[in-house]
Amino acid sequence: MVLEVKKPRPIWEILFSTHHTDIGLLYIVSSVTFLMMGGALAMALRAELWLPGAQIIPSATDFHRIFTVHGTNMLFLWILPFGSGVGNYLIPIMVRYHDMAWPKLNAVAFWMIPVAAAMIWIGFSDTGWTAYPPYSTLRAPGPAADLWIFGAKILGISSVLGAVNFVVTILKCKHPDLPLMKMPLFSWSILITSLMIIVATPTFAAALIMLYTDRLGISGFFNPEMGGDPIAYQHLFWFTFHPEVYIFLIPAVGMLYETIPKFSRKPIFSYQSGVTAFVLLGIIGFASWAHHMFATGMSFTEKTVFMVGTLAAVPASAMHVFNWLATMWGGRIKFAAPMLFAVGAIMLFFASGAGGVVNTQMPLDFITHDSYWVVGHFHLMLMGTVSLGLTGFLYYLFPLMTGRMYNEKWAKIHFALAFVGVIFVFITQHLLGLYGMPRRVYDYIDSPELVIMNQIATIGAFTVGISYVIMVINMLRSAGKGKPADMEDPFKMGEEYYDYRRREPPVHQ
Amino acid sequence: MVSRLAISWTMIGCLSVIGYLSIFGSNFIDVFAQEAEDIIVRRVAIWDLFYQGMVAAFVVGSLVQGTLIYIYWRFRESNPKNRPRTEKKEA
Repeated sequence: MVLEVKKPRPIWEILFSTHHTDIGLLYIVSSVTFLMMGGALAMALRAELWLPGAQIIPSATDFHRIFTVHGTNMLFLWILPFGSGVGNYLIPIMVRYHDMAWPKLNAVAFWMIPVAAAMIWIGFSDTGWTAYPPYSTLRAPGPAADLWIFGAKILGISSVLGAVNFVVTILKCKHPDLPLMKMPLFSWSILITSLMIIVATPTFAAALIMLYTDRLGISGFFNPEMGGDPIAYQHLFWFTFHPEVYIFLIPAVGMLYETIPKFSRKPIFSYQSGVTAFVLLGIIGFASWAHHMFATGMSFTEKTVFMVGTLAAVPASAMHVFNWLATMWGGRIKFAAPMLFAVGAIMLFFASGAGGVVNTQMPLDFITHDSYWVVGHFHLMLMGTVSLGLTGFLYYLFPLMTGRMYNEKWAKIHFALAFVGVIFVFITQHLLGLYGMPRRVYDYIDSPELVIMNQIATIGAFTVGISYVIMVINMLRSAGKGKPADMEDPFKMGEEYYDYRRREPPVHQ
Repeated sequence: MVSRLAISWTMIGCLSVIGYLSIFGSNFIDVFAQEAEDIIVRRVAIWDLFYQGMVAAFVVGSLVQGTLIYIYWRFRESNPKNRPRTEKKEA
């Protein structure tokens, strides 16, 4: 087994490597770094909202800049690269190939991310992560908004390059004796995600060019004074970014399919239903983009089509949940940290999904639109389900990457704080929305209900923040001084653990 | 023997039907009534729909979350009822 950190190597050897495990390690380390940076911004936002009026952030514009970079950072520099990192680490091993199909392209795709991240962080744009016109084209100050556009563009190119590499590695470099329907479900999740990226991302790439030329004043695609339509941008944006929601979610689901059977000591209940649900989600993800736009004056028929399209994702998502429950049923579940995070993610997956069903129904969408309900809903999905799932898998991979064990007690404390904190902050935000608090606001009405709920949300946010600081300290300390892991069975499951390379057929060149 | 895929679909179908009937079997169409003679207060009708949706979500949610909690409790490795067969024989 390849142990990257255990072997003492100069750092430049990892930085300039094109080997898939090195690139995977770089993706994972950088994405966790960005998680902490984006998390620090979230703490600033929540501290500001502790009480009505200005607290620690000087102006509303600065508040907007902070949540813009927070959102962009968390989506494109934490969740997406982490999925790519784990994919890089495991996909060649799972499909029995010695590396990714194009190792140099793989390294190029990774090294675009720090460049894009620098542009986004240096620019500190105030457009919101959606960059809706007309503000983004007519009023948003440059060069901040321009840097955001170019940063997003580079991240899109990086995603497409990575996705092409994954698709070719899985479909063309897979061992000839390994049928697709025998691949681990995590490989399926990366395959479906990559295909979605290839289909969805070019639309946003085109929209960004149109946005930029509009900003330069040489076109008016989204400018009504020049015959354009700002709503057209929203269609282009959400055609990419509703599927992107599934692009964030599906790798996390694939990771849960790795941990849940392993820690339940049982095979997956139904491999076929897992594959079916992945494929269905991959298709249905493209049939629901305009549910983000019910309030823009669409016709009843259009809204009905997109409402039904969105609800069609419910059975596919429920198939995953049922599959996990049926897998655990009758097993002997060991609640090590990766499994705790997995079961926490499943519990919050249902809660956030139920909130999504409410948003989907067009009459109800008018109650919740642009309110804190929406913030609570998507954070519950992205932080509660996706990030907890990814974090659990980080603990699962830790012995493989470092050859050492993390501190289990502190990992469990991390889980407990993160799980409770996520519920405090994001369920409360749903209620804030129902009490009429709009999203993206710097200040709010000084009513006792809003103040107390904002304070509960802030306490929850800091609890989550502290839990992730604990994780980073635990991992840094354990990577250097942790107990050497038993590589046959690091979680004391009583069975062979990292068996990917030992499976038949053998790795081929 | 019924395949596991079929079992999954059946379970999910049943839950979907419960949710669908709870929400759409009510006054969903009223909310969008277009005819002049329909006198409804849309705000009231929408909140009514919201509460019905919440009831459906909490019913299905309590079923799923309850099952999850039972599974975690019953099939944890520390549960005395859940020892491996070899250990039970030795005992």
